[in-house]
Amino acid sequence: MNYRSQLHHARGKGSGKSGTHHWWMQRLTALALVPLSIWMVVAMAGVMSEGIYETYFWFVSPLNVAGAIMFIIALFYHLQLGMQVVVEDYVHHPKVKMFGLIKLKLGTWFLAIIAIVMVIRLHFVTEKLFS
Amino acid sequence: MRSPNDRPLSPHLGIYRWQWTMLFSIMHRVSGVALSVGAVYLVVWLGTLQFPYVYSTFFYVHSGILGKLILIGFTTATFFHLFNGIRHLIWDTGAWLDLPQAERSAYFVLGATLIAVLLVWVPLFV
Repeated sequence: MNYRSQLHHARGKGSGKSGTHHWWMQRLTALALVPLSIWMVVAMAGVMSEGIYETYFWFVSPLNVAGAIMFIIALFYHLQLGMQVVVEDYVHHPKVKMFGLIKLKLGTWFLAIIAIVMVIRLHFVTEKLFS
Repeated sequence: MRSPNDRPLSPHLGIYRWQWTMLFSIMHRVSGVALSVGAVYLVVWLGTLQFPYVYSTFFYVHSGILGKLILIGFTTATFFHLFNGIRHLIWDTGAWLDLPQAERSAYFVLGATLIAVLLVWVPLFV
C-alpha cells in the first residue's frame, strides 16, 4: 500500500514544514505565561499597595529580574502571535494588512527589548542605591 | 475562477442565538487585544520607573480611583484570558470538548476570574 500522499493533493495547501509552528509557539508561550503572569500580577499589586520605595526595592533581587525578563519575552511573543491572527482576520486590504503585520512584528521586538533593558538598568541602579 | 466578491458567504454572527461558549470565545479575543494595550502600558510603567520623579506621579495617579479602575480592568482581563486560556489548553489535549462540558468550564472560568480579581484587589482596598 502506498502511504505517501499524491503531490497534487498536497500542492497549494500550505507548508508541510512550519505550518504548525505558529500554533505550537502560541501554546508554549501560553503555558509559560500561566505561572509567570500570576506571579507578575501578585508582584505588581504588591508594590502598588506598598509604595514607591518598595517598587524600586523589588528590582534588587536577581530572581525578580530574571522572572520579569522571562515574563516580558513570553508576553510579547504570545502577544505577537495573537495579534497577528487578529490582523489577518480583520484587515482585508492586502497592503494595509502587510504593513500592519510588519509594524506588529517589529513593534513587539522593539518594545520587548526596550522593556528588558529597562528592567536590567533598574536592577543595577537599585542594587547600588540599596547597598 | 470566481472573484472574491461573488463567492457565497457562510452564515454570519447575527443569525446565531447567543451562547456562553460563543460569548467566551469572543471575550477571549477581546481580552487578548485589551492585554496588548496592557503590555504597552507595562512598558510605559517601566519607563516612568527610570525617573523617580516621573514614577512618583505615576504612582500617585494609580492610588486614585481612576488609576485603580484602569489596573482593575487590566487585572480582570489578565485573569479571564489566563483561565480561559487554560480552558483552551485543556481542549488541546482533547478533553472537555463536548457541549455540556464546554459550557460548564465557561462558568468555571467566570467564577475563577471573579475570585482571583477579588483576591488581588480586596486587600488593596481594606
